[in-house]
Amino acid sequence: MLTSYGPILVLIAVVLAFAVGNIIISELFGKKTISIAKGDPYECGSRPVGGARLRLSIHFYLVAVLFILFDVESLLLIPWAVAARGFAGAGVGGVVFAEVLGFVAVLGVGLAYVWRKGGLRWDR
Amino acid sequence: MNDYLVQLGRIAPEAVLTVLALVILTWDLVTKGRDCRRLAYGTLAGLGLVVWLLCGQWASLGETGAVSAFGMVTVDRFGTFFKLFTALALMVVVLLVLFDRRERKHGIGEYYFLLIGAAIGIFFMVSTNNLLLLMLGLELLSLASYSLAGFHKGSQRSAEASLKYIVFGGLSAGIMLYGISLLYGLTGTIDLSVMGRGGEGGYPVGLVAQFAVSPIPVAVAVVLVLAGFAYKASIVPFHFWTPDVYEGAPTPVTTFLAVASKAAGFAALLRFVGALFLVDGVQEAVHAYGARIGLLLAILSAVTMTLGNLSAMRQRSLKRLLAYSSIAHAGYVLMGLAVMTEAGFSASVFYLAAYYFMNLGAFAFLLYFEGETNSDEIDSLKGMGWRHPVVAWAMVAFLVSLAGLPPTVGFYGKLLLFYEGVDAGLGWLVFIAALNSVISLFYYFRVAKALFLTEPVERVPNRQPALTGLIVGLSVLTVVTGIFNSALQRWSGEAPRALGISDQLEEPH
Repeated sequence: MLTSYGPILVLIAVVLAFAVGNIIISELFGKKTISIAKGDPYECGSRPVGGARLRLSIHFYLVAVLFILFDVESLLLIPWAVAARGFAGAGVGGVVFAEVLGFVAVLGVGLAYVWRKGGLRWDR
Repeated sequence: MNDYLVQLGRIAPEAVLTVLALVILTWDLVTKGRDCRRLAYGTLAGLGLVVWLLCGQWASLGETGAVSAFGMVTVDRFGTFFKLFTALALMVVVLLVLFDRRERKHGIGEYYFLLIGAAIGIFFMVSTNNLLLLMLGLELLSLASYSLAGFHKGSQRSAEASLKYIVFGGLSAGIMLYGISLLYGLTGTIDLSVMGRGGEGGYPVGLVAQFAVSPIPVAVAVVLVLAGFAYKASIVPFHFWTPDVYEGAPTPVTTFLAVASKAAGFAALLRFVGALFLVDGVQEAVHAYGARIGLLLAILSAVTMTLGNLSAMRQRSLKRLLAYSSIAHAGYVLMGLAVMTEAGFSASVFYLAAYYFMNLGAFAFLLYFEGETNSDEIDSLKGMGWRHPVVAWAMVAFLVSLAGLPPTVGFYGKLLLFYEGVDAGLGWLVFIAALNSVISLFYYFRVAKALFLTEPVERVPNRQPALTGLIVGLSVLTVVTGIFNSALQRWSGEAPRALGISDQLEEPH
């Protein structure tokens, strides 16, 4: 049984050898020119300005999190909407509808919370 | 439709908690965060209802009875036992938030909301055989705990605690999910009971049969999943977050993490190990396999308790001392698991129940002490025994219980664990545990020494009467359940019976 994992081990070995080997070969035989441009993050294009560790407004993260929340909501609701006729046909339409309402209600409370706490205001 | 309502009735406690969480959050919004006392009373009332529902559930379930709700939740006495203790512990934690002198009382509605959210996670986590739901419950608990640990947004310590917790949590959740995916790949099911017995759906072989064919992948998968539980229960080598998070988090949150969250991790671990390795009516192969996992757990247990106790000795902060002591206690509880019998499991469950009482009390004392002196150093404890004799004597009861001396519940819990350990032939582990108890005596009594062995000073008026009442109540519980332990012993004995594990694994002497 264990031997059936053999190919994976071989694959890992080949991948490692390829990656490490290339670095070693270019280090050994590559031609080296040293200039200031070599130290730049990108050797072509516009020159970088300032450091990379900027402080971003927390609002960006809030909006991103809220987007994901409601994105997931629509991900669940669309399949339900497509299948709703089938549920109704099977006689469980009411129950499933109540469940979906519960789901939306939980999200609604969440939205009310964010709204009230000022999470949707941009100009603070 | 009718059947739907019956199934919904089985998860009534969880449903009530969910509604409670939403009500609390909406209430907080409507009153604009001005009304935190009444929010706490509302939370307590809701939790009281949950406790009442759980008591009804316990009574209606037979000893080994288990009913399923929606094919995901398994309602049995094992789960109900831990849910009951979680709900009661949460009530104490809510009271602690209410009594916390250093906590501002306005605009903290989220505190209660997050605590209830964590409890919902625990409720689902301890009552399911479905690995997916177990993972979801664990994550819900974790997410709520991360935000709770960082609840004091202005405090650097609190933010550090939250960040450390989330990094460790994310790592171990990833490891655990990978293990679960391997288990699914090996057995074709995510249902623990099917995985243990080998069911109709998927491949007709259980995990044990898989083990006979390909031992290494199964062992890797099981160890990876164990990592997730070890993180929740702070078992070595997944304990590193514990002292820092416990120290940085607000004390009521620390209480919740040290008591309810840790016990929930153990409950899920007990169910996992019980369902996979101790099932009824399986053949010899299980025996060898179960014994090997038992040995692994025994080694983890020995390492965990030793490391926890040795580190606790060097602590200067009472909060960190209690954090390391909680690691050591995780080691003791693991002893019962390592025994791999139903009796061992019930010893573990009893010890967890004892742990609820004594640790809730110790942390309540810590909160009292912080409210008085604004510090958690053991040095600033000096003379507390003369200034505040009532709470100090109550603390001595908790320390005696934590150290495992009679007549407290901690002593009886340890006695059961040691007995089962010796009975299963794990004499070396019991020896290490006994040595550890001696070590723990040293640092627990260092606290007692700081309390009393100083120059007598004037007694000061008690400024926290409500908290004092709670502490005294818990200390009475610690002593009384230690002397009259038969009821608790019966209940904790009944709890693991619901897991359907066999008692046939003991070595034929």
